[in-house]
Amino acid sequence: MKTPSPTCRIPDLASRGAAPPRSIGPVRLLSAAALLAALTTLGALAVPNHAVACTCPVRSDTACINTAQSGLGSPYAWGGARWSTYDRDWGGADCSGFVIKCWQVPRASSIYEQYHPYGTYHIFNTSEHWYSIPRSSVARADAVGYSDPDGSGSATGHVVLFDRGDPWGWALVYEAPGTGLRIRHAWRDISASKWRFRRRHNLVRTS
Amino acid sequence: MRRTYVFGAWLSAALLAATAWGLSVSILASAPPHKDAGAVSRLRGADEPVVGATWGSGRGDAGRSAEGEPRGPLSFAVDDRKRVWLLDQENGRLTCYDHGAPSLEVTLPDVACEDLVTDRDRICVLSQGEPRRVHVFDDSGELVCSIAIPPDLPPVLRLSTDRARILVECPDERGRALYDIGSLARPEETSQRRPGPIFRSAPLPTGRRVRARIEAQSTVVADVEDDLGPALRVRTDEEGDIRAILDVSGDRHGSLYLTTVSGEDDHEHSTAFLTVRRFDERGVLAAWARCAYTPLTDAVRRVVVTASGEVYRMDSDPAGVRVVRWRLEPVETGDRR
Repeated sequence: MKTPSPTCRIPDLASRGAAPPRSIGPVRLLSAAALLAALTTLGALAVPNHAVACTCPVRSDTACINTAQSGLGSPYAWGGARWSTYDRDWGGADCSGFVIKCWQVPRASSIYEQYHPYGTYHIFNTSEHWYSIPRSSVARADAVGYSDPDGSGSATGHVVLFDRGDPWGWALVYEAPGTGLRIRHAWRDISASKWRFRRRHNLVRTS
Repeated sequence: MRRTYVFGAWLSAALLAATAWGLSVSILASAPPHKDAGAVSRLRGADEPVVGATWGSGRGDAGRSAEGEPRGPLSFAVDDRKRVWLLDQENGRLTCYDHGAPSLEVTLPDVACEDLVTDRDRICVLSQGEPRRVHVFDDSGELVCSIAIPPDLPPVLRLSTDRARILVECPDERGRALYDIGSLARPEETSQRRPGPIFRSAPLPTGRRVRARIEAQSTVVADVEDDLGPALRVRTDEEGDIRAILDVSGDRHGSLYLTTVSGEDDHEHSTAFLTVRRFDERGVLAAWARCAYTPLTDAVRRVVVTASGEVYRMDSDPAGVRVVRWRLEPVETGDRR
């Protein structure tokens, strides 16, 4: 949304009078300053935080889910972000590597490529190619998780890809759960206050 | 002309004031509401610690605390002797606590174990590995058998037992579906044929079943059925939005226990409360308790209700994990939630 330029409005207002004022009085100055502040603030509030330019490719939620399904059964590997649909013992991904691969940000990368640009800390403490959404609007292919506040990687962060909810309020998710386990499609309780919700920029809804 | 400017100034000032008011409202709304903070301090029921353990390294992994302490507890159970069994998943073991002290440690057959239940002298452990199965131990920790879960069953969430039958609990479009996969008494009589769901509800020790669902944003409805059909309906109303039903259980006296999570949140600020309610055999709310719900680790099971009617809760925080006996507060007249 483009913010109207208040500097254009004052002369316009002035030109409507029969005789232009001889000088800029304090009332006019106050009026202009107040109008400028109000409109600037309103304009900033009206712009949604996800409407910023994002260079990541447009991607559908179904494509994200398809990528997630391609990883099912592959191993968890800390720092990993690759897997093979032919050999379930090859490669592996950690939780953030898995979600970022499904999202394909900041660029497209194949499931065979070890490309792990963002960790869980980035997903929940920055807004590189995603934005925060409220719990009530979480939908397919959104990221759900939490992060340790200092980014120290002290095993308190996790992120999953949301698929759908159930009548008890639990969530069916795709995730790389942890050491010794494999990428899976599983149910999780995401009702605790620590869980946050993120949506990829340029995500197209097809389902 | 001057009137126009004065009018413009007043209009701008009013606009600015409205903006400031809107900003302050949004900032206030993003902070935890005062009523929630009050609810936390208004904890009902005294917690009686049963097990307390700091985070640890188990068998020498890169842990942060003392050797032998739990690292990734996912579930727990309380047996007839009031011993607490903790499923310490990241350490691949079960730890049995007797009167608060570790009395037995059982190495699990695989690292994909996620839930457990006790039934008399048997401990059943759900493994989500490939193939999925239920490991059955006796109360001395010996593995009795492993029962495979039919591969075409939907994702399994938790375990349950009903009169020595092993049930696996799967999410279902109507709530929960339970499938009978075998007998604890005769484990050899298991079938790989996909069983149909025997319940779309939770079994109660009295032979009744209960089907619960989130009906509206702040209401849970639970229908109790017996062999003759619908027997009872209970309804709860929360202060905040209901996010999840965590547990539906009963005791042998016919009481029904509903454990829910409710809360309020916007994008980044969230509050959550765990509430347990006990309804008597007539469906009247008899007792309840509430606590803040901010667990550090994820667990498949956080609340256990024993057949005798004791309620246990597993908490986790940066210090460690603890299991407490959660004392419920009798409902006073006019305080029916």
